[in-house]
Amino acid sequence: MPNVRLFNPKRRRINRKHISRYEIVCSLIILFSLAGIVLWVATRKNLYDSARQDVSLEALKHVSSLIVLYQQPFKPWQLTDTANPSENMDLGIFPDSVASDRWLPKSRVKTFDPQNLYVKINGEAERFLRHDFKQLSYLVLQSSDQIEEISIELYDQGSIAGSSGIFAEHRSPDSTVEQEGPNTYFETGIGLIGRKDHFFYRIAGNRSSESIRSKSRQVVQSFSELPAPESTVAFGYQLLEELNIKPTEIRHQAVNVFQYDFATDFWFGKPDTAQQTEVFVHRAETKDNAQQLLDRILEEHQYEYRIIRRTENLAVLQHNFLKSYFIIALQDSFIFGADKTPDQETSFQLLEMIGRALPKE
Amino acid sequence: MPTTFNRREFLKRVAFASTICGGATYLAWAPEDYPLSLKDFTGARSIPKPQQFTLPDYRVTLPPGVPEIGIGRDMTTSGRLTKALDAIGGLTQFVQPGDVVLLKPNVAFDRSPELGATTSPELIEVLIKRLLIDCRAQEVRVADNPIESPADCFAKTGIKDAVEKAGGRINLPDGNAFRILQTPGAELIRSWPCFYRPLIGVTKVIGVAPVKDHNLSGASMGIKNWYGLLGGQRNQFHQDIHTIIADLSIMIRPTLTILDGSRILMRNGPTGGDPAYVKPWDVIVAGTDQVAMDAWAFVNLLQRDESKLPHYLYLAEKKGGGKIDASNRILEVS
Amino acid sequence: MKTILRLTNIRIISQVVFLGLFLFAVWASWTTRIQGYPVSRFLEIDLLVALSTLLSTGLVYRFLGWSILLLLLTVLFGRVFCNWMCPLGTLHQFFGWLFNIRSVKERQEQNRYQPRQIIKYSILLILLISAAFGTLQIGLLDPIALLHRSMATGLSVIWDFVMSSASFTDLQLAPGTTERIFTGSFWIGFVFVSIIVLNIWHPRFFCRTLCPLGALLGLLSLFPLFRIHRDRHLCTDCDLCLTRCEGASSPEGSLRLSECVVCMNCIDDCPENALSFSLPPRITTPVSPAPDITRRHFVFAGLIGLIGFPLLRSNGKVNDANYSPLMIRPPGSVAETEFLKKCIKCAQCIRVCPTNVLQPTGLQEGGIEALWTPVLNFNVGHCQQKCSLCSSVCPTGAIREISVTEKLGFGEFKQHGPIRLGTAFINRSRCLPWANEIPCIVCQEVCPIAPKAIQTYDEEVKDTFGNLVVLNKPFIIPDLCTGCGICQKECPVTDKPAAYVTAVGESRSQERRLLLRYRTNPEEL
Repeated sequence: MPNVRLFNPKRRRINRKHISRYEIVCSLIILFSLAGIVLWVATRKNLYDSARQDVSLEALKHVSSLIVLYQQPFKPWQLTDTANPSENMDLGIFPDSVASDRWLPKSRVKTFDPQNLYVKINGEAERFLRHDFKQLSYLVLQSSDQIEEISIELYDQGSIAGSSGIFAEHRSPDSTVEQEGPNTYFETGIGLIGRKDHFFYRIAGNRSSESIRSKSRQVVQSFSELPAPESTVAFGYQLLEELNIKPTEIRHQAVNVFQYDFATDFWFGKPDTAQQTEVFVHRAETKDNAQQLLDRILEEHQYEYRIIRRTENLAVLQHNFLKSYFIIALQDSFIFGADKTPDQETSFQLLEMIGRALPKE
Repeated sequence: MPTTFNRREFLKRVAFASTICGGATYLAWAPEDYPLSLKDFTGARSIPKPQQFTLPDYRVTLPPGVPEIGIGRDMTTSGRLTKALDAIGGLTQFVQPGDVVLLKPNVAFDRSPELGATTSPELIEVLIKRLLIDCRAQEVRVADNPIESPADCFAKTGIKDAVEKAGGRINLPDGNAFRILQTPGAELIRSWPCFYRPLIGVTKVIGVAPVKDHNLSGASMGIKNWYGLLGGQRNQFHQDIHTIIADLSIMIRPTLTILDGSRILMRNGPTGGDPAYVKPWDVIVAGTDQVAMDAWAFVNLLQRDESKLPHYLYLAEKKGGGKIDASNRILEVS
Repeated sequence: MKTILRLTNIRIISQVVFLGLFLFAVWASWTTRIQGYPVSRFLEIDLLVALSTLLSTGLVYRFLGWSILLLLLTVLFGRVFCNWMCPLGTLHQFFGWLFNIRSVKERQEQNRYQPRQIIKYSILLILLISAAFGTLQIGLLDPIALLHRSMATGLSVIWDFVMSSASFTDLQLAPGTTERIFTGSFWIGFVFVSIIVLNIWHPRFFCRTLCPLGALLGLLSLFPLFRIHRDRHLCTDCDLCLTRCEGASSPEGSLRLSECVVCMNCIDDCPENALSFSLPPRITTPVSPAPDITRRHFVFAGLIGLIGFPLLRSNGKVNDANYSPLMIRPPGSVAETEFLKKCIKCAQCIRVCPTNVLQPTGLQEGGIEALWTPVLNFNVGHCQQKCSLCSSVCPTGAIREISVTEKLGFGEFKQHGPIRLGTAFINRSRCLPWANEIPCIVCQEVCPIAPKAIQTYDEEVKDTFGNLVVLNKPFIIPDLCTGCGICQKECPVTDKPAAYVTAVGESRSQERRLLLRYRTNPEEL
């Protein structure tokens, strides 16, 4: 291998003999400016706006949830040669007679419980949970021509108190409530809303048509087959029913009775459908609780009512403007009475009627 | 150089030639199991054999009677963590002085921590400080193999700042950081590239996972967090997501798993992106049975129906990753 | 002491400092390091960049006005930039010096002025005239752009490989990444290595013969305030001043001002102290000021520009009629014709991209005109949602500076909508759930949009083995899709992904728009 140099063998050297003072001064100036440049670069480090590299949470919140997408329904597997995909479908709690040849289940029954009810009815969930909601079964029926659809929401409210409470919240004053066997319901434009025992249900079609209306009524009929309540009928309901008040006129109010947040769990019934008058009954836990509740109600009522008569466990009041009467009484741990009666006699009659029916302790 | 060609010279050259030829013949033709043999008749010897490793069991044995899962509820992160850890006997039970601890947070995306897609940096910071100060751990490493750019993910999620503030060390994945991991008993990852470098010399491993919705598997919690240690073509795993998550439950046996219920991603998982999908909550779950913890978090944090528990939990239970039923093993402190 | 502080030494310090700053800028161009560092300042003081973009667009973008500094420096002192600051010049000088084994006599012959040094002026003319027509090609030869491109796409990979093997991850240019890819980096590296290796045969061949920036600065330094002067009374015509002359600027005769790079070596090498760098003394030595550019050069260069531009354009890759579906530009890019008026192919955006999605364009996507401009290759990476680094480093505004808020179309940018790079599609004949009855939907999982721009048809089927499987078959909602490409990156059908992004629908161009209206954001125009 011939020995060839790889690198430059020459050393740097200066031939000139004189370096002027100006050159030194210039050199120093240049050195300082170089140092200045390096320093300038180094100081740039933190001069930046980190917000440019991210979106502010406010901007995100501003557009949050604006876009809602429609999710195609899940398509379950079906044998290609079976014409009727719903034949073997398990309808769950729904009676088999809900489906028919003309009305086929569109998807499997979905159930929701208190933990995930909001998934189905986001805003409304609270309303149902207030009334002891237990379970929602959801089924969509599709007409055989695939044009019409009926969605059926069947809520298990746990008790008659729950179901009648949520039912009362749904009905408007001008809806005509019908009673058919154990079912109580009223029709809406596209279906109907009703209750049976501890069940509450809403049936709604995708449009207003006669076939949907008749199918809705048929569904209600088949709901008679729904299992009867395991628990005994609530005391207030039983009591008011004994007083010959129609089930359609019995309602339960769980909270905010008379608009007071301390009054809960009252049963109301209208003895006469045509009139405003309502009787009510409540069972407190102890006699002392009942006494306290009575005192508080009377205390609060004084802002709107004039006390006509007051004894230890009975009070009659008259509304300042409406002039209707309000009577309330205490017996054992029960509080009961009548509201919006036209005159004092009726009040006392109603009070006596309830008092007799109350169980003795 | 000799000028004449004599016998001695002749013999020397013959000896030289035969040594070269003989040596070459031996190297090329000696049977493959002979020493120094280079023979590769079928080509099988030249197939590269990747370096492989197995993971030890990082669990510690706990005194009997201590619950396996602790749930802490508090207004502050450190309060939550303290309560959750105290319920299972305190952090010092798990980490002894001198331990080298690996924390595995979920840093999969470059989202700000408020969006709930990643482990919250506050928790990481508090945890590292406890490990270094209370438990006197020798070193705390933090590692993840995110889907997006690792450097960015650690920075944007705030984990980088948190770790550096607390005195931990971040391990970013790169091309040389992976090695084949052997997992006996697994179905899909019996041998699969795993993020190896941060595991060298580690004596304790703690998973710190957020609780997230996950579109395909249902939910991404403690077990799914270990997905972040895998390398290779891991996007294939979505073809059988439940089996792979069940495999993950036995791939690594962490000392401790911590579920971060500070921000729960309820929808649009696992990426999130909208603050409306995030539910701020006040829970931290710490424990040793990931399967039970995930099941508990699914029902109580994500608030889904117990009947819809992700399938992978049942598979994991079958593989021995843990037990779903947490009754009698759980202690809640609030 | 005096000899240490002489100007040639100071020059070397200056060269080291500027090369160091350049390398620092390359190192700091990384997502976790960049912070407020002015990493593109080298390109912003590059007078050629400023002048040519001024010619092509009529305007001066952002910090390009800083090039006034260079103009001032050159008018006062000549081509000091070339031998005091230019990092590529430093490299040329270093390699030319390091491997130089010639004798003194040979060196002097080597450094005599060569007629071929005129080529660079022709190159400059052609580049400037094409720029005025609307295609900016200076980046191919501009020293800063060339060096940065070579560093970012070629040398960085080698450096990172060495540093990773040595476990110096802090020194890595792209720490925490696996195997960065830069398509076509072979040719970029080849050009770079070639011009470096040329120094062995002809010292500073690039600077003397090819560099368009050097040519521009040469033309500007014809009447400098300070220059090299030779005292003829002291001069013995020994030619020693040629031994280390960097510019081949004839210091031994009449100095060629446009070639002199002010290296000051000749002053050191003169045993008679005949040479000095100063204001003109009373008795001046002759200079040959102007380079030998003739009218012929102007006419020919103009003709090349005139012929070249329409030829490049009719090639058809830039036009809206025949653009490549792969020509996906970084977020914030201006429309394609404007882009080609601004992009100088410096690869700063490619360097800073954390996911490696930005690649130098090959001939396939944009033809010769767009060679080595940035393009997104979603097989390699994806455009990370909360990142706009490429836009913040771009010196010329080919990628306009945007914030992440603007990129995603939030807040005040709501009516502009997000910046769309393109639109994703699903190839149903390659998608596992669609084509093969195998569950997958990685694409939907990784989609960063909220709500996700990939949704699914959910279906339960019996697969060919009789197993009941639930398939989520993905489809794209183009109104939501921003074309970030993570679906393509993560698709398990890796070679030709079933989820893929093409350029149609990109928001930088009305002509390449896809949707009549965006159903998710009626405000968006």
